[in-house]
Amino acid sequence: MSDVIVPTSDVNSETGVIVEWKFADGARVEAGDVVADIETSKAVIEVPVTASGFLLQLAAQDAEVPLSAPIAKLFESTEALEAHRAAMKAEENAAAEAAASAGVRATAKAKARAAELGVDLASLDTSRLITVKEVEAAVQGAFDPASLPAPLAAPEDTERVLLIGGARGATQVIDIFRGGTGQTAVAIVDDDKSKWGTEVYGVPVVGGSDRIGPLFAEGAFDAVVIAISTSVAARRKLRELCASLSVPLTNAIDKTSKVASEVTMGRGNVLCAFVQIGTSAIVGDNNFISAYNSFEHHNILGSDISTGPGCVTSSRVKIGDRCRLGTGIFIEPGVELGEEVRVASGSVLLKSVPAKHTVKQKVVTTVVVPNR
Amino acid sequence: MEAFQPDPRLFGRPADDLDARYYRRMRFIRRFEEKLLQLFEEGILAGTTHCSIGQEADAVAVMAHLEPGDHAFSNHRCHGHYLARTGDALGLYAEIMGKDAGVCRGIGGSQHICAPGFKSNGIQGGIVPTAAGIAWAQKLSKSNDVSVVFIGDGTLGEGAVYETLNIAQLWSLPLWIVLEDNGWSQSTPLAANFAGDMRMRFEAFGLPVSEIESTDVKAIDEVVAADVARVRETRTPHVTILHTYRLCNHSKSSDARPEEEVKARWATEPLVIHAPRLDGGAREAIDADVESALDEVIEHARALP
Amino acid sequence: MIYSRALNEALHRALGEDARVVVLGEDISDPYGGAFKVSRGLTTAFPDRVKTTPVSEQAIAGISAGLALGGYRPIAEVMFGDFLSLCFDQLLNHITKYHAMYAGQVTCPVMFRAPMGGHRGYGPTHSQSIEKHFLGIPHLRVVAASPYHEPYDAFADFLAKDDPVLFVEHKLLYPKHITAPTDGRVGELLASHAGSEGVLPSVCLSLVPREECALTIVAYGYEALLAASVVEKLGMEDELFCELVVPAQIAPVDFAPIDASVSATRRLLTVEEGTAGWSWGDRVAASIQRSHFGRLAKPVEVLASQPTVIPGARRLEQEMLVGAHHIEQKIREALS
Repeated sequence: MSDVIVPTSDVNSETGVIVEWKFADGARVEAGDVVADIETSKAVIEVPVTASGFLLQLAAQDAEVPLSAPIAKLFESTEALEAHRAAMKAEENAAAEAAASAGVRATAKAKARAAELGVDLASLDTSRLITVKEVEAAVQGAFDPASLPAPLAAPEDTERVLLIGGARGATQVIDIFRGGTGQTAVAIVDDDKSKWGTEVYGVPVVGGSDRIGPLFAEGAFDAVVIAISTSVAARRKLRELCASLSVPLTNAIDKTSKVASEVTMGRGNVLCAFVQIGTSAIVGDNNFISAYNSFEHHNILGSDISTGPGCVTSSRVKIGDRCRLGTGIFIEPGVELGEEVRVASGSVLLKSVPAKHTVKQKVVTTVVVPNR
Repeated sequence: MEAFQPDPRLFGRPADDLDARYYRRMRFIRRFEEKLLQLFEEGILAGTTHCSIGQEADAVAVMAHLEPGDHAFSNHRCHGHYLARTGDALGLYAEIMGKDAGVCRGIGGSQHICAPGFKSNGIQGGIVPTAAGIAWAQKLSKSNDVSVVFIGDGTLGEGAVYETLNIAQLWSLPLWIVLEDNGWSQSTPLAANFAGDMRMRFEAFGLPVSEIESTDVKAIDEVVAADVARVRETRTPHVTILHTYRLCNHSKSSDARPEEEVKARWATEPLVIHAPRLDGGAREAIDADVESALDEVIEHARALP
Repeated sequence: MIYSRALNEALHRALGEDARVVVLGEDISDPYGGAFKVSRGLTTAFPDRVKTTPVSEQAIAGISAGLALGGYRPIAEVMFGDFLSLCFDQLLNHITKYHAMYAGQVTCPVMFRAPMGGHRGYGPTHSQSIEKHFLGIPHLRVVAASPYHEPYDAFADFLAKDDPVLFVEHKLLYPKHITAPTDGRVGELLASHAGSEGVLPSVCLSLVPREECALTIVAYGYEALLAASVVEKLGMEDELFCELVVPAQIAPVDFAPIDASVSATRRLLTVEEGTAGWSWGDRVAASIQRSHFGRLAKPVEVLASQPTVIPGARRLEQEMLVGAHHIEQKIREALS
């Protein structure tokens, strides 16, 4: 057996196209016969054979071939040629099989991630290129309710609470309960699938918000606390969801907080450490009040409010629904904030703010330089 | 669109004899350009212009033998050629004045004129292959038309000319090159620009050449009549060298030629040579026709938007 | 089918279907058929309307101008695009002038076909991509051959309109197979056509939908082929997803497809093989930065070859001309 090589001096072309085979596949050729014409970008090259034998074409007419590789092989007998052809065919078939199983188009990263997570790429949407995102989404989507963890059991005498939101807000609420409020967090729901099956301070994330109704129906918990600290829109939405499911909210009030006498308080409020609610104040539902807040006597707070630490009001202040306060805010007596007012950290409010307005604050920036 | 009808006072009538027609057309071109230069001096024209005062006989004789389907390509010094081809004084005045009624709506200006069967471009040399391309188009269309291109002695410095001479002869194109050798390439005399033999430059490519040194329209007419007929019949290229003289400056400003040389040439300018063939009365009548017609055209052109 | 043969067939077709078409150029007679064999068979099939010329680029251009003024549709083959400099006077002062200069009385539709480009070791005067010198000429359209556009479309476009065209063909495309989009795909890449009415469409290529791409690349000719390979590689290996916009007409630029892509990606990289400075990419960058001012995540990046002579030595040429490795590096920088 010998190779048929393109005799080229055209070092500039890496490939050529087989314009014509002068002899049929398998034909007998004699030394010196021109067996093919190859077109490179600059010329048509005749390909002669230097020995006699039977011709096995390695590429079809019109095919583009690398000039550095043989375009045909010569065999001494037809039998040797056919044996080689059969071997080549077997190799081709094996390659085709491999290619078929690799018919799924996925990035290298997606393939690696799929291997890590045990995802079968062929089970995904193969009409598009599969990326890491699709692989991970598939894993998250793969949970069936039966495989999700069950809520914790709790002592008889405690209120069993379901937390909505499995991020840092949940750690705050669980910490409040650990201080001895007579409540136990038995489960968490969160719509971020990547959290499912994980735990926050030993409390399992048992699924998404779609599990609130079924779990309540099963009697897995008594009431809900929404443990999302900053998004007032999410707090409202989830409160309304619970209302629609007739699932009650409950308050989570840290033991170090002081709620004065004659205070009227709704449900679903979270009061972190050292919060003070002055006497005769009225507090709505589902507010998340951070540490060291002080609402003086005769304040009126709406619902779905969120505050940062260290907000201090004087007497007779009104704070509307879904207000969002930053950190370290002082509010003078009688000031009223309308609905959905946002107040920047460090503000001192001397007068009222109408609904849907933002109080901006020029922050004096601190310059940090390396030590000398 | 109706074909443009030239003013008989400028272009003559079919019944006119040849002497009268040639005189009228040369007078028309001469006075058109003299009045144009006056308009420049009045300051109502911008830019520049290249007049052909002294070379009118070439334009009139050559154009007299072109058919409507023929194509003439001229150069920067194109007024005479254009007027002799079309008789369109208003279109050219308006063009140079930058009026919308100009033959190219004021875009082309003095050197870039277009009308059916006529074009000019101010780029030297480049028009020669273009004219050859038009000749090839005529040949492909199997018409009897010819493509004539006007060049000057200065154009012989351009390489494109020689590339074209070679191909025109090689491909047998009906291209007629009319070389107006006025002895001066702008301010440089032929002797300082030109080596070798003018005729042999063409003959080296195998092109037949006719040559005449004259400002007599009738003598030129005889030569060019035969030349254009040969191109039309044989569908092969031909060169006609017309040794002539330019009496005006190259463009608006002085080109520093010797005053005595220019002065001496005024004695043999085309009108002086040809005028005696007409009787005095006829000549005065033509002069008056041209004057009144051109004054009307200028007045009209000036009033245009 | 490989590009040079498709081009040859397109020329046969244009000559066969339109009696106005005339083809001329150096060494195009059979059996040689032009330096790159693109004109093979034409002088045999159409002896009257296909002529091999002397080595006379000014005359080729000028005669083409005259043919066009005389009602024909000349397609002039310039053996190497580098020689277009010898046609420049005709292009600038004649061909592109006549229609406007004569107030619309005539048209001068000439097409120049010019093999451009390097990566073959042809050295300083036979490897250039000098189209940038022609991009600003009023009334001239410049169209670039690409592996994603059928060459006949460029001829059909030329024959349907009345303006002159410079058709730039990168030499390395000649032996490549044409891979025009079929069923919304070019190989692994999603492919679609986009562009303004009446302009040859651009081809948009990406591995994932445009909304998931973080960078738009605009490239033409052979550089588009290189850019596509890099787009595929970076997407498949590193999930760096880009959309490649490949225009056919590069001047005047049809900004619509680039605008649409950049609106989604907010980043743009232009790639061309011509030398840097006063380049096509500079022009595209200026426009996109104006139209997307304030909405871009990064300034537009322009990748062009080094502003110097193209060396004869392959190893030097590889550094000097924009190659796939340069494109990859730029994309990584743009997305870092």
